[in-house]
Amino acid sequence: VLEIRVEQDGKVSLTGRLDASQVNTARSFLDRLQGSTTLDCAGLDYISSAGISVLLVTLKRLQDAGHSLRLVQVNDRVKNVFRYAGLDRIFSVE
Amino acid sequence: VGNQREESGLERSFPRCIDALDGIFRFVAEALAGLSVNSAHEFTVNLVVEELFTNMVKYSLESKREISLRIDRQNGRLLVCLTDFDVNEFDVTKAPEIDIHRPLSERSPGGLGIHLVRRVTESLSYRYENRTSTIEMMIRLEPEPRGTE
Repeated sequence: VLEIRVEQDGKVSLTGRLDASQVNTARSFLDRLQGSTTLDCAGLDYISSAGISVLLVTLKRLQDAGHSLRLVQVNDRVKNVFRYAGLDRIFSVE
Repeated sequence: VGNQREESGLERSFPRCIDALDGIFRFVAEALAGLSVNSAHEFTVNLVVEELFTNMVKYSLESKREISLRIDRQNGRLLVCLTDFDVNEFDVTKAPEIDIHRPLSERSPGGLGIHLVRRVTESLSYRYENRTSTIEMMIRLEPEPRGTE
């Protein structure tokens, strides 16, 4: 299960699992984001290639519009998936 | 859904749909606990199973059969086996490697799942006979799971 919401500080928090069964939920939310965005991943327990693909599409869309997408409080296991995918150089992952 | 406990492993079958992932993740947790495997390995097992299970669901549309998942512990390793029945041959071990050094403008999601599976497993093998695909993966248990070091 994945929960996405906009926090009071304007960050978007992801909680739960971003797997193939949750990509439609994630996509419908992330497609509506406008402007530079920070994703708070403190509660994100898991991500697969399907989840990464959704974030990749969002990053491309925002960058094409001159904005950025930053991922913060990413746990080590999720961070490793980005590293194995070679995306730690493309995404801002903290 | 079938369930069969054998000497050291656990096997279960899942409907070929993406929504089966929740049940698969619960089964992985149950199997690792039953095999006395540290839950730190759960992330890696979930990742490789999701990547290959979803490939089977997406690309083997001709089959209506459930997909079998078996997890065993052998000599300090986890043996994870997915079996897909009544399907055409698709050897995942021959899938081309992706170039992870490409810039964002040239990146596409295709092939990323298999790349991650190769990255976190010690071995990946494929067998095809009687219209049945069997994928076996070995994951090293000690000292640390490769997907979480």
